[in-house]
Amino acid sequence: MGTGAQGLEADADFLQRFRREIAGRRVPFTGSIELTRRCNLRCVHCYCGDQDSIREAQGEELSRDRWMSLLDELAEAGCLDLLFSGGEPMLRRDFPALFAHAKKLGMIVTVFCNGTLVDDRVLDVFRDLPPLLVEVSLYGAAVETHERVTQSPGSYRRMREGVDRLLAAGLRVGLKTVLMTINRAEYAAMERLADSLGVSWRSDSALFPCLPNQDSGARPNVCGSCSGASSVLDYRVPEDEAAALECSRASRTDALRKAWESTSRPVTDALYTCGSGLTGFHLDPYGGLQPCLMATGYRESAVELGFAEAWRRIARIREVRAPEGYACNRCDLQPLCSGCPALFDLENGNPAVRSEYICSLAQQRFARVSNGQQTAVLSR
Amino acid sequence: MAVSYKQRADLVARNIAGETIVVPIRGKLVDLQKIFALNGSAEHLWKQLESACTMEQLCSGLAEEFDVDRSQAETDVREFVEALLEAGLVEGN
Ligand code: SF4
Ligand code: SF4
Repeated sequence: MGTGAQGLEADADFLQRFRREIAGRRVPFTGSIELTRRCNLRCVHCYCGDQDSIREAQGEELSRDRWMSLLDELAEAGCLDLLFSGGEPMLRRDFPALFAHAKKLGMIVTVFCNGTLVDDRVLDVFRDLPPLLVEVSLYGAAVETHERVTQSPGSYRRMREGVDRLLAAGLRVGLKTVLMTINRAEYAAMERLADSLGVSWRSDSALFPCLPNQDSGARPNVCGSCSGASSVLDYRVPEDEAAALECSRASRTDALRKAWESTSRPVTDALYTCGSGLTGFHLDPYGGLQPCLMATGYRESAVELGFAEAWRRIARIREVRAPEGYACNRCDLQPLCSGCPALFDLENGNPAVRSEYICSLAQQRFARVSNGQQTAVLSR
Repeated sequence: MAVSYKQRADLVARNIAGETIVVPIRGKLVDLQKIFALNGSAEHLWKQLESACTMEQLCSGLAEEFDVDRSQAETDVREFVEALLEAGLVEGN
């Protein structure tokens, strides 16, 4: 424009510039909110942990009004990309109202759910104010497999009905799977199921230990899956097999290769190198603000302090320096690795002690992406 | 009668990191995956489009505010309104 404006922009150049700008100004642009940790299912691998103690803490969950004003604060602070998650977010009766409020504030909203509670109230608001994506958890192509994971009879049928309803309403739906020893034999079948429904599908191999309860702290968090000798991590699929499954479709191998080739990995002495606490945040059901779901050690109360002040305080995660000998912030495999210090902390009780499983999985991915041609440089 | 243009009702304009970002909140899913940024005089025109305006009114407003000649203002307004129409951010009647 001759008057000095470029008019309307939404192209890649603008987005790149804009991303730099929001990182430079530390705008909380991308966030997730866990409306509740309660769930109507009982997945064996769930990081929420013991549902009985979570239920006892239900009274500590933020009220509808408190969530409404927190959403106002998020919008004010610059959040655009928001995820509603849980637990099962649709267990809250006020889910439709909270979702609608976020949309009307001009946020772009994605919803993660288990698909079993998609009722008319939810569909009415989704039809009016469409989410960017509704991602539904699928744990097996066969009814028995899905329900061996959810430990909830009838959950497969209800999930499929929920997906059908979302699709009939013209919404964008995706399926996502946590890869486990229980469902690994159905990897291809789950992908075919998604194809037949015309929806996207992704699988995640990153099982991680239960998070601590984030209520008043009065309750322990030991669920059936983590007690005694067994652990959620026992469901991890061996690294070579997990990488082989991930690369069983050329498009996925290509995507990994592209990530490997195009992602910059600056050498830094910072411990946390992702966007958490820089442009990313997570809010738990009790109003705790963290840099991400897993970085539980940096929690501040957005209710007591207000969002802006809590956000200012959690910036301290960006100041943490890696101890001597920590290799991940100099590792060439970063673009192929799902590890991070917060996850390492949950798994090993120390953010600087990497998960051997995650590390080996990244190496297995690399072997597939490079056809064994190159040698990985774990530390530069 | 000259066509007048107006912002669609189902949009929210946000100010994030100094940029005006227009987010469609209803409508087709393809639109929802796009955000639009306005800057400089585009922002000024966008404000005017909160109520129905003709091309003529937009041109006068722009020429006045930015001290540019009339023909430049006309070119800018036409290009901008066409881009807005194509993106589905304004409607004409
Ligand atoms: S559906 Fe999700 S929140 Fe519910 S039990 Fe399963 S993993 Fe946990
Ligand atoms: S591949 Fe290993 S060393 Fe490299 S970032 Fe991942 S966990 Fe760290």
